[in-house]
Amino acid sequence: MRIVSRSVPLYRRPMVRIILTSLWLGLLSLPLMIELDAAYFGLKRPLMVTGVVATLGLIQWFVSQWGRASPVWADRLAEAGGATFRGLIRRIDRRLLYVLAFAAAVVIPLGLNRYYIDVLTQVGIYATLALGLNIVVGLAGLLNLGYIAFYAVGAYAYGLLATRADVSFWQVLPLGGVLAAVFGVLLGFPALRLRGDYLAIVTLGFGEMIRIVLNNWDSLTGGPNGIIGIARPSLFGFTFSHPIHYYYLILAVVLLTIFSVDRLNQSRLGRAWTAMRDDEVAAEAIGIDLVKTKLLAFGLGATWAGLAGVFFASKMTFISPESFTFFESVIVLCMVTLGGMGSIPGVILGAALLLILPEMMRQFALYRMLVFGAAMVGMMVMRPKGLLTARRRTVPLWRKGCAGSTVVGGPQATSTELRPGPSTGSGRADPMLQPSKEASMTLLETRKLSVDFGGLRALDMVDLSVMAGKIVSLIGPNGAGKTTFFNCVTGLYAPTSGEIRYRGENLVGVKPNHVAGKGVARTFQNIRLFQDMTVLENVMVGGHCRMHASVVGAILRPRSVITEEEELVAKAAELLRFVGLQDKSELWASQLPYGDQRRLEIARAMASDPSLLLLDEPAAGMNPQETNALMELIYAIRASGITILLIEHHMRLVMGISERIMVLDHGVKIAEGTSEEIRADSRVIAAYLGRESAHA
Amino acid sequence: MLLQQLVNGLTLGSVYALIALGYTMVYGIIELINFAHGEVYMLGAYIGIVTFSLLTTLHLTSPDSAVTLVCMMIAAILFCGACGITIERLAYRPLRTAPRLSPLISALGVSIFLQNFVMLAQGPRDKGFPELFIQGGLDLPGGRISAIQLFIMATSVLMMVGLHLLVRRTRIGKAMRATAQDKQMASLVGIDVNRVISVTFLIGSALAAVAGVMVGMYYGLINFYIGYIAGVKAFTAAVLGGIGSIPGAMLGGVLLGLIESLGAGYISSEYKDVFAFAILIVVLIFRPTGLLGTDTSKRA
Amino acid sequence: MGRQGLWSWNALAFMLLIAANAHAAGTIKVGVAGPLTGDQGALGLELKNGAIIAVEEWNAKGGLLGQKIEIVWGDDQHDPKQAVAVANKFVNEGVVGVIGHFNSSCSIPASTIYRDGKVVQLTPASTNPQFTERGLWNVFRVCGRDDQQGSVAANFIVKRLKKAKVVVLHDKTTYGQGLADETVKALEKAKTKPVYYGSITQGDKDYRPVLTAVRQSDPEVLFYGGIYPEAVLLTKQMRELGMKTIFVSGDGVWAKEFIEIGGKAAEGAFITFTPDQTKIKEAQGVIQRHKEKFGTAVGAYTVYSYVAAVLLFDAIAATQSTDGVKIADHIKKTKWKTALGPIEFDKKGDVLISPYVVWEVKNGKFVELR
Repeated sequence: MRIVSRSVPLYRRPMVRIILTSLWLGLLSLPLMIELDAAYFGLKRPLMVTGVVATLGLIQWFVSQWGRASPVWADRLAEAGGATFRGLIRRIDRRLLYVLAFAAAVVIPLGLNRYYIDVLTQVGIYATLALGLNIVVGLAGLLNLGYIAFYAVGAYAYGLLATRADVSFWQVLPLGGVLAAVFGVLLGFPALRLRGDYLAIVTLGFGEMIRIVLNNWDSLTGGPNGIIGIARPSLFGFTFSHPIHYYYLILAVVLLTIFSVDRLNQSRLGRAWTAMRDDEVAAEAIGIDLVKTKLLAFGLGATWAGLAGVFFASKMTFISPESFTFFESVIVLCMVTLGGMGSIPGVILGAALLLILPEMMRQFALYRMLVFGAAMVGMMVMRPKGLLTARRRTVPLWRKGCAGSTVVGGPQATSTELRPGPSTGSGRADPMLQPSKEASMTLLETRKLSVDFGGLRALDMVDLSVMAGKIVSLIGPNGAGKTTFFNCVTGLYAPTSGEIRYRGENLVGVKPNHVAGKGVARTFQNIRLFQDMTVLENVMVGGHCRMHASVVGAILRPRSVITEEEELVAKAAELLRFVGLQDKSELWASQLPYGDQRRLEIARAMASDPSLLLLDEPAAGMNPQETNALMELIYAIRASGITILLIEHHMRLVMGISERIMVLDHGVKIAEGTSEEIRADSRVIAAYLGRESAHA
Repeated sequence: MLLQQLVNGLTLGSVYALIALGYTMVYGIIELINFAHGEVYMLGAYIGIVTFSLLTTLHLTSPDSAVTLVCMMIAAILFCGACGITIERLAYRPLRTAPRLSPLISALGVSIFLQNFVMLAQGPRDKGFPELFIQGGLDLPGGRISAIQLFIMATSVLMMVGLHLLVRRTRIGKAMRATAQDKQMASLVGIDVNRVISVTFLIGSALAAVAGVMVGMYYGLINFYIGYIAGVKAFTAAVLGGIGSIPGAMLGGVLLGLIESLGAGYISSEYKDVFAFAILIVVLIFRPTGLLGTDTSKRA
Repeated sequence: MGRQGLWSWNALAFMLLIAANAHAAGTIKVGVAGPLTGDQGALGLELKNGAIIAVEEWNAKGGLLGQKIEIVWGDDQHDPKQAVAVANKFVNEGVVGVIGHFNSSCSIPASTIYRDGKVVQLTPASTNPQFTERGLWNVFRVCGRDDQQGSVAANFIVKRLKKAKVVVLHDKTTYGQGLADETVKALEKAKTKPVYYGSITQGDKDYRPVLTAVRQSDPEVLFYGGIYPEAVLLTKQMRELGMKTIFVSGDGVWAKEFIEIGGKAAEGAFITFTPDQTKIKEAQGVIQRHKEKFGTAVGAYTVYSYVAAVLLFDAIAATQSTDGVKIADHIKKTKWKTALGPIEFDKKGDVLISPYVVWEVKNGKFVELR
């Protein structure tokens, strides 16, 4: 929060700080310049290195000031430049841009010499790697530091099969991808339970283990000598030998990767990854199978590394474990982060930069890695989110028809009917849902449900039942165990003892995503929306467990998948209209005001076609008008055939809409009945107001 | 042989533990894997040599006096402390609100920079570390403990006890713990978070500096590349013990040292790192937050 | 060489610098490739210095084909992938020949690109037999092969030292393992089976665990295939553990640091290496110049790199051509007198006579055994 003004003391002025910083860096580097060995002693070297350090410090400090305490003109310039550039891109049709980029990628190398082509080919290999890693790190948010192991798997698969079994490149290419995917899933298993940096070290360890095994299993892999004389690929008698042949081959692989990764990103699976990255708990609660989704991320990420590995082995005709060190994993990770996590052009840009920069710096000779290291810091400080930041496309680029049906504010959206019923949208109404049949049916029932946290008993022998088609409230003072009850029902907590039955089926030990799949949806007390997604996508991801698109389907997009997706978009738009957010579907979830976020969470929960909806304090923080609207909404939901169980402190709301109320206090159910009965119950009054007042 | 391997493992482990402490402290406070930490340790070793050659060529102290060693340690601590703070200011502080991976990449940049800087300034060839006054050893029935091994273990234990007292018993220690738990709350109750973070880097770097000088003495040979491997190992140790936990880092370091030494001695020297990582993975499967770690990820 | 000579060298170096910066046309380019930076930068430096001296010498004599020689540097950081990039860059810039690469794992993938570009490649240090075993016409190896060196070491252990309990360790690199394996082969031929065979991890610092295990078999000789930093640590830690085992190793350990840093622990170690360069008249020039220019004694591979460069320049001068095929032909059929002594190449590009002898570390110096 530095503000440049006249009153700023001298030492705080940017220029002065730059000078001071570089002086300090120069000073700091001096002790290391003392080298009493005659070979290095002299003034020239220390001065040079100090000069480099000071210059870099200067640049870096300047860069870090950019946009913060930078002079006004710099801000304006940056803004204007950015806006113009962005405007320019927006004006050009995106497709035209892609075609131009593609044409450039095809034509330009024809005019280049073999050195540049080789460098570009490497960019291609690393772009493939980085795009694959981007699935794991950028989309699914799983830090993987051993990614290069899959690259090694692909490379060794081709190396071994080509030298020992004479299998052709074209046969190994898909095989390498599959093999790498298998390894990816293998790594995924121990990684399932781990988060963040624990995951990072396990993946690091995995990568190192693969490398060490490759280096030591001499009889198979040739140990440190590697595999020599791997066949070059050939096609109909034409052998790939010149760098340009390889360039076009890798260009094809990169295009395939871009195509697939982009389509995956825009699919049901891509939404699940983003949701999981944002909030695992919420993602699981709306029916995303975390195990499957994580393993798919690892497996699909690894596939591209496998392909790149096969290609690498065929290009080098020689592989050895030296090419698959931890540092390589790190470089690929740098490409993803530096370019802009999650953004496909960003990741490719990152790969290009990190490969071309060191090559360009060859003229610095010995100083090249020094400058490279400092440049990495500088670029990161300058653009912490990467060079190109990822923005999920708000409406997927489905084929015709899709966009038309979603249009927000389009003709259909103006209709104000309040009860379209969520299940009508999907046309998959559950026959069990018919109110006539289940009027007297018990939907949810718990018997002697108890939960212990260490020594604390959060729920104690709770018997509770919810009849189908009712609005039931669960009330009680803070810490009564209400949310714990929800968590038990939705599978987040395992009860210590007791039974939970939903339509007679056991729910104890069932994972949250399966609970959601059975038709129990929930909202959270502290709103858990997916902040990195738009309002519309938040609702769409809610429909995850009702969809069937597979990985192959997501990439190939057969008619059935397109229909499914179109239906989902239509259903989501309808649900948004239902909760009154139709005008905001393009906003980011984080941009919504508080009340809207609550409503969005309800819409998201309803997207999974539930029969039972658990609402955790939906009216918290709402003003009276909003609360009234919420009551209307809850009625409307019930009217569409959904049973509602509600935790709420807002007594007017509870008493107004509940057909049955249950009261928890210190984990024990102390009362149950209609609102009149509860209002009169002395134990309830005691629980809320204290013992004395009950006696009074 | 077992006794000898235990001694080997404990010595190696206490070095890992000292470096792991730096990782774990920084992680505990700003949740950053400070990949440049290994390089700070390398800088410590180099400053040790520089100080030694300055002192002895200027005939200020004799090569085998304890004063020389103390001077080397102090110089390394001061220098590395200053480096640690500078690195944090320049490469991490501007990224404090950035996505989590950004400071990681920045740290890698710092690491590459420092390695190459030392290579240019001090030359790429390995350097011999002077043999100091600590010589000789104890012959035991099953093996031999050298004086320097004893010295390393004793110093490590001393540093760790000191660190423990600092974190548990002092004002700044309390401020560090508060900042680690919740930076915003800490700043609300009047803790200067930036200062606490600087102090954390200072202490972590100082421990790494001590480790650097001791390792230099122990092996008698250093190069600009030692920080990389030591860094990865110490990071592993920190995670094994539960990253963010100070006793965890000590335990993890010692365990890793023992696993490596017993694995190399009894099973296979080639695959010792495979065992180390395999054990780490198994431990993490059963205790996803390391041996002594607590789950901070679900805290919300 | 007098003061004047020194001045002229400096002036030349300066001119060379300017020439390099200006990318002046009318120079003859040679590529010098190896790990110039990175963890093996020290080894790259040896290669680099040898090439610099050779180029300066020739430029002082007026260059080649009437043009000055210009070095194009190629830093491969001992990474095969970068070696290929360097190779393509060299071919592209039209180098007439390449001195390098250093590591076999880089020389091998790069060599096919040099062949396609019709460029002669002379490695001063890649000892892996595979480098020349693949029938390429453009590759030459100035140094010996692992198998040649291994048999010298094995013979020495069995016949000269007359020891039977041998432990063989290596650093699990192409070079180290190649050397160790060839030594084991030669040992087994002499009916001596190693009592322990294993590897250490390059870059680790603590080898006490594996040495403690080795100690159990009470070996008389430890043969190590690897380079000097690990050798220093091995000898030191061996002595610390109270082992009296004789240390034998290959040319990768022949470095001043082995003695300087190893100190007492290095005493009595045996190293296979080329015959004493200081006793070869032709080598004196380069050793002397290295001392003057860089202030240090030559490294193990400096003279190899120098010789490789000189061979290339000689061949270009003799054929008056920059055609790779002609140059290679000339190198192959000529009997060379070099700073490493007389050299002749076979069809594959290997030196004919095994250039290895055994050295001992005695009183802080390498001494060639007779």
